Amino acid sequence: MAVSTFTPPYQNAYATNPERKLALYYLVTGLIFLLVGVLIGPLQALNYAGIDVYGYFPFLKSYYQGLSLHGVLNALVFTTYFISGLLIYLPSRELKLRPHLGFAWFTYWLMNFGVTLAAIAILTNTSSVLYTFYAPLQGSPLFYIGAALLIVSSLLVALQTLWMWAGWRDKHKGQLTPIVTYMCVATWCMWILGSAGIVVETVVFLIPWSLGWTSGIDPLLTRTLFWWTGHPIVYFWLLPAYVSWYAFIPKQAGGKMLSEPLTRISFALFLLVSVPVGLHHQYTDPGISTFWKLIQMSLTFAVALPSMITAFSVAASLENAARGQGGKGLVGWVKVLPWKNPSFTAQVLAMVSFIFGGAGGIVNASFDLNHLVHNTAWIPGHFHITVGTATTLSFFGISFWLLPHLTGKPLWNPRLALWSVWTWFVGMMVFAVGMHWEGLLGIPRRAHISSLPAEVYADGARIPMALTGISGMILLVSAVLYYLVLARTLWGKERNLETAPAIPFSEILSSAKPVGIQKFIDDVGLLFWIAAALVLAVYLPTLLEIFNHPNLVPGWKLW
Amino acid sequence: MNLHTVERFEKLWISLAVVMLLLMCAASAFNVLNSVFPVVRSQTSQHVDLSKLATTPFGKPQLKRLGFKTFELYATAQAFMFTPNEIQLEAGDSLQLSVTSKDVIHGLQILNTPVNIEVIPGEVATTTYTFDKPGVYLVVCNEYCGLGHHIMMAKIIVRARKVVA
Repeated sequence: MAVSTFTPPYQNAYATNPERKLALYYLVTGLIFLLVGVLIGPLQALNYAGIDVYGYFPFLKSYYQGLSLHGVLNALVFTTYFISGLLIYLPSRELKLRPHLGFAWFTYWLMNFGVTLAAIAILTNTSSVLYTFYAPLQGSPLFYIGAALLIVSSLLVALQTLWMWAGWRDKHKGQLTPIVTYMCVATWCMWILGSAGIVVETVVFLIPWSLGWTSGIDPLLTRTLFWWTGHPIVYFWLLPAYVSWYAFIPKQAGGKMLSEPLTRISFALFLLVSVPVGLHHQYTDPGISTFWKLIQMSLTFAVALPSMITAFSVAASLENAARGQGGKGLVGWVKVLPWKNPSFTAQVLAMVSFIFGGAGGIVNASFDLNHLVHNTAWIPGHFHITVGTATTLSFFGISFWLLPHLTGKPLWNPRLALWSVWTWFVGMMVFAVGMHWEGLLGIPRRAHISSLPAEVYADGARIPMALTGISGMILLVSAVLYYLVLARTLWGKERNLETAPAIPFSEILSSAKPVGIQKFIDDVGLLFWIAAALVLAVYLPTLLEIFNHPNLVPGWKLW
Repeated sequence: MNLHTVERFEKLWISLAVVMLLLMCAASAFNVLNSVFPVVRSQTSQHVDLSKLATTPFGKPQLKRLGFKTFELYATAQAFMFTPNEIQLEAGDSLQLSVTSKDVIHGLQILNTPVNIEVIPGEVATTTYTFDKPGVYLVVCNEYCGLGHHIMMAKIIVRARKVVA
């Protein structure tokens, strides 16, 4: 019996909601950049297993060029694209508004242009400066201009989303911002404040210096400005995953969001305390006082609180969903959750990964313990289970319903999608054990250690190195599976918008009311200014001190 | 699930989280303020002119005895070596290390100790550590500095204390 599927012509697929095409392009472009970055990963995992395969890849001039590509594409480019798509699309659908598409598409192409410049710089081996690009290592101006354009484009997306929100608020006075939009707007405001460091660093200092307009650069000043952004950027990566965990996972689990007021409070806290903490990446730096390092350490511990709140809320909503479907026992209720749903499983595994990532983060945040792990292999171990899993695996999970939602094409082979999810999680867990362990043995990060004789590091680190090598292979398999599912979904022949998944907005058990604290924190603009004042209070003394005692040094190209 | 029960557990969890975070932060701050481990010290204004390094203590990077079991070392880091690249001490000796870079940012980590320093050109980083245990301590650069980053190493040889009867 033939079943006819309504397949609208390509143009009409987006006619009713053209912002869907915008979101689709952001997400898929980001995922394509991630593919390139991810393919370099196994080479690096093998390096940390003591196996040097770089001779087989002559187009990579060095381990460090490959590492620059991997870091920039995965941590900066993929994340920014995917997040830009999510955080403009979700509010627009929840508020039932449309962003100005001409401006939105201009922003998308500006972002592409920036990335192209930076890619040319890295691929021609003029800018193997890694994704932290510390001066006085000096890359090509194309690199810094490209990076600046990437960030500035994301800020344009932020402004466009805030514009929509402001318009909605004007017409809905006295009402609280709907929850998903609230979370997205808070994230964007946090990013606007957080990105200020890197924008000033690149636009005011690095670009003129790389063009030869200034002769010296102050490495401590630029490094401090980088880390002003370097910490909030991890919340820029994490909070979009939290949006899904809070607002969509309850529905996907068959339940409801338990406490909307607490969700809002956690995002308000993130906006207030994500930025004034960057010095915890500089505990071992000279030229910065112990006093300000301690102040920012305290604020770093404070920003751990909203994540702990999130852990409770999300777990509670999962338990509530499970018990509502017959789940019993102290932990047995976990069994009735929809583990066959790859979108659900990806995100719950991402949450589990973040338990370990967050714990490691507390070690990193502690001024004393930090000395034992700073710049060792522990650090990439940490961030592969945070941005690499909590964020990336969540984004994979989101893509399993969002791409079908945007295109009308069903997810191809959900079973294989589920395999890609489990292999990613297992691969990352094994990688994390290997790398955290290697770090504690003193093996440095960002180092082509496989080109050294075995007596230096390998002989004393056989087990963790074996784990790291194996993990790289598991992750390669996972990536192949995920991209196979992605490609076959996007190039599927059937398109049916009527049966495509809707955005899984969850019902809310305990709603927030527009009074008291909730009314106060709904004024995200006010929170932004309070957050800005706090950042200036804990950064200005240090920055002014550095600025008033300039230490200009020449640039170097050492690759 | 009873919403009231959830709310009670919520309050309990958040209280426990706040207490845990406060304790951890306080413990870490305590360790810093009591110099339980080698904190990196420097004055922000204490720069060194890289073009005039020879006129500074960094011009003579060698171990200098300050007292019975205390030593001072002005060391430099550059792509891709530390100077000096080997020193010898005795177990129980205390080393006051000051280091700067001649070119880009390097790292200086003495493996199997908490000494971990970000070495920034023109900035002087100082830290003090007492080597209680004899052995050979590997010193590695742990901040990417270019193609030779992974070969940039030094050694601190700490011999056992000679007990004089």
